[in-house]
Amino acid sequence: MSLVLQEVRARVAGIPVLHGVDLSLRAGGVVALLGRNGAGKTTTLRTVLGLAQLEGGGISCGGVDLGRLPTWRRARQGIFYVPEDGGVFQDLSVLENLRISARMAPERVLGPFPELGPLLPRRAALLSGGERKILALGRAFASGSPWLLIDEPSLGLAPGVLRRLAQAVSTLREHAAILLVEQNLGFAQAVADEYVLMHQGRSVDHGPIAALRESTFFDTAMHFGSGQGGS
Amino acid sequence: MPRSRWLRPAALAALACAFLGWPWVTGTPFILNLLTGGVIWGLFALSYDLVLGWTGEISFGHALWFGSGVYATALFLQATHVDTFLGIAIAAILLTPLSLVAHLLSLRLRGAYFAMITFALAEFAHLLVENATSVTGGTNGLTSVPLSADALAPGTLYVLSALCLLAGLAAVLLVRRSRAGSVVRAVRDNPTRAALFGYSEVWVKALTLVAASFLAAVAGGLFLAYQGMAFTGALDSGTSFTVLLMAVIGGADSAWGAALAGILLYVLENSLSATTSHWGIFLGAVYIAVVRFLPGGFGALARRLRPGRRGRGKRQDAILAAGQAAAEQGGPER
Amino acid sequence: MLLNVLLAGLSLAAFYFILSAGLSLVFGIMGVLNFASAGYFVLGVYATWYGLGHGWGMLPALLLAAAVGGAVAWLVEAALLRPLYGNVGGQILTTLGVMLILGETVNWIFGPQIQEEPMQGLLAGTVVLGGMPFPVYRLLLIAAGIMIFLLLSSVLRDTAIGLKVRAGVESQTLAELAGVRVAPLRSFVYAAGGVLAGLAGGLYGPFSGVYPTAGVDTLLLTFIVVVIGGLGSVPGTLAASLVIGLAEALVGFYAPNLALTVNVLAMIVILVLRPQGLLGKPPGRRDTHAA
Repeated sequence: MSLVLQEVRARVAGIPVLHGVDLSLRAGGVVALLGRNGAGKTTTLRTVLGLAQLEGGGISCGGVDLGRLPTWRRARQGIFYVPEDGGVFQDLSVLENLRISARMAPERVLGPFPELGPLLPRRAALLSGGERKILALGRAFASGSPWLLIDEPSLGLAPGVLRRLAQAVSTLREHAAILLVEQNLGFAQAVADEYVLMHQGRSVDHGPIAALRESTFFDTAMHFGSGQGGS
Repeated sequence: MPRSRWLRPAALAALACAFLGWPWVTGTPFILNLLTGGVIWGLFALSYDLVLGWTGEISFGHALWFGSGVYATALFLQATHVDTFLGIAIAAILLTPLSLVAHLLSLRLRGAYFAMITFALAEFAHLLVENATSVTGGTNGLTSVPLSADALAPGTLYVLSALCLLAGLAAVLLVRRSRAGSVVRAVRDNPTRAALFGYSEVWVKALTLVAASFLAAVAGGLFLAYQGMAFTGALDSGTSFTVLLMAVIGGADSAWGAALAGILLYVLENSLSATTSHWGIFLGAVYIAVVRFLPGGFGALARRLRPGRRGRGKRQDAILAAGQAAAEQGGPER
Repeated sequence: MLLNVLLAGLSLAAFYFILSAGLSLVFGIMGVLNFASAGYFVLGVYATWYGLGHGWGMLPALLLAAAVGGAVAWLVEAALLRPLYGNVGGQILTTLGVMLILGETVNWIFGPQIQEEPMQGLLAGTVVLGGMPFPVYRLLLIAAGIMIFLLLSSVLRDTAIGLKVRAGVESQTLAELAGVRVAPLRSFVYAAGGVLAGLAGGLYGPFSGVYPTAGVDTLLLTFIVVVIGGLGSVPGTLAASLVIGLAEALVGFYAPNLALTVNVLAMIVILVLRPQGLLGKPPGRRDTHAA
């Protein structure tokens, strides 16, 4: 079982953004998708969910072709997307947020995510940034999805919260394979076992995460010191 | 092809002359009267083409400017007793600052919210006119408007209305082909991009809407002369809906189409509705079918059927552009 | 006497709530300003009139109105709106056409004249409250408004489909990402909007008469209520209905012509200053996840 992208080309609002992305995420694995701002990392995740227009190439999950399926069907195929801002429903309570995509009793989330317990009746709009991130990961857990696509979980969080988040991601990887977009290299290296480097809308290199710095494309693709924000 | 350089204007001029003169050749007073109304509604529908076709905004209150034209002209004539046609022009000009303010206010909003504020403004004016009985005559209307003798002669009114329509049509078509026209279209199709080139979406659209309101007010003034009195019906939501239907059927982005649809549908309604009560149902059905299957209206159909037309590239559908703002599920404000 | 004015205001509020709640939800989930709602309303007016005229009781006649409104709305969504999915402008224009056709059809079948609703028995009578007679029917309106509010809120709050509807109202993309199929949800909400509009129409006849332009005549009031309450919000719609109903009863008591004008003015001011409505979401929220 793998989530496989082959030669994926995609457009956002009519403009070509992805020119050829190959990657493969096997069950239980964690792949870090790395690259500069604007390299197409977020667009890659959105294309997997059908939120960007697929132009060519193929996306399949466990042998099922996803390319033509509507977004809700891809979600039901077991692919759960956690966007940069968490993607929680602001108008719903924490419990309802867990319930709407849950394939298990929402209370089971409280095992790995106990801090959500006292927040269950609260409207998600009233959560702090860190609480919202935890809720987003809690929803990913509750969905029971075997494939998680997580975009920049560490963005804008204080170091204390960051540690808790890394812990949460490790919990999730016991249950699911993760495709992780991350700017924070330390965070990525701590949780991922493979990397895919992206540059200008293409995947240019991949390998085990330990060998990341030896990649010939490392300097071109990473270009440290660039600003904040996704692609 | 040097010949076509004068052939086209000459053909257009001949067409215009025929348009101005033919009621005398064939017409009974009844037909002349019917056509006068049709031409005035053609001008009104043309003005709506500027709203939906040019700005890509749906207004459900365009009757506001038609009705303002009716009442402003009536009140101005009562106050000054000048020549009717002069009064129509002055009233329409006096209304422009008011319409600029109203459009700048409305254009703070987008999509369904813009649609709703246009509706609300028109209804507000309707209620004001209905309740300010001492000035407007309320629901009885203004029946004692001092119209000059030439305005009362049906032939003169027809020629003048037809001239206004032709002038409006010519102006709209000329501006469309000019630089200003392409700026307006760029703003409609991609406001963010146009803003990068220094064009403010709100101001470009507001000025376009002011032009639309001006044409509608002229049509309203002519309609006052046509009816000889001012009625609150001119400000009615039904009037807004009718002109919207006309423009959409004729072509949301086609000046010719909208004007011709205005003339034809007015004439048909007023000659047929005596014999059939299903006119409204029929019109509504045609309109729904056009929105679904022919979103550019009959104007776009004619354009497509004309052979040897210079390729102008694919035109974006105005109705789609109108919906985009709403579909983005963004906030209500621009 | 104040009690009577208050009760009259509450009964108006109840009617406005039923009239507007559907429109507000339909806008929330489809982004469509549903003019056709006025068409389902007028169908409801005539369905109830037809039922009562054939000796039905008030309740069956109202159920007929709700059923007709819902059935026609369901058909319209399936046949005319669904094919235009993604073209909100086209959908809004289509609902206007539906409203005009339904109004004209009713006019063609039943004629343009105002008919009186054949009310009988207890509902046609009055009770004495605070020393003044008060129509029993208006008390029924208040009861109906409270029932519909409780029903709507409990469906939205406590059922699975209610949760999905609220999620879809907030963001269709997020709902789809959670595995919710939004298309049938839209049909459901649209048909429910038709049911509410039809029911409101059925309730309208007994106090305002039965005539073909009833739908267009109430359109403005519906818009006022949904704008002030904030489009997409049921509690907001309730609050706005109360404000408008009570204001109309109080202002209307002293200056009948002024009430509607004041309300439209309030609508314009709110649109310009606070378009999300008095109770609506704060401004600046964008659906950043939309495809």
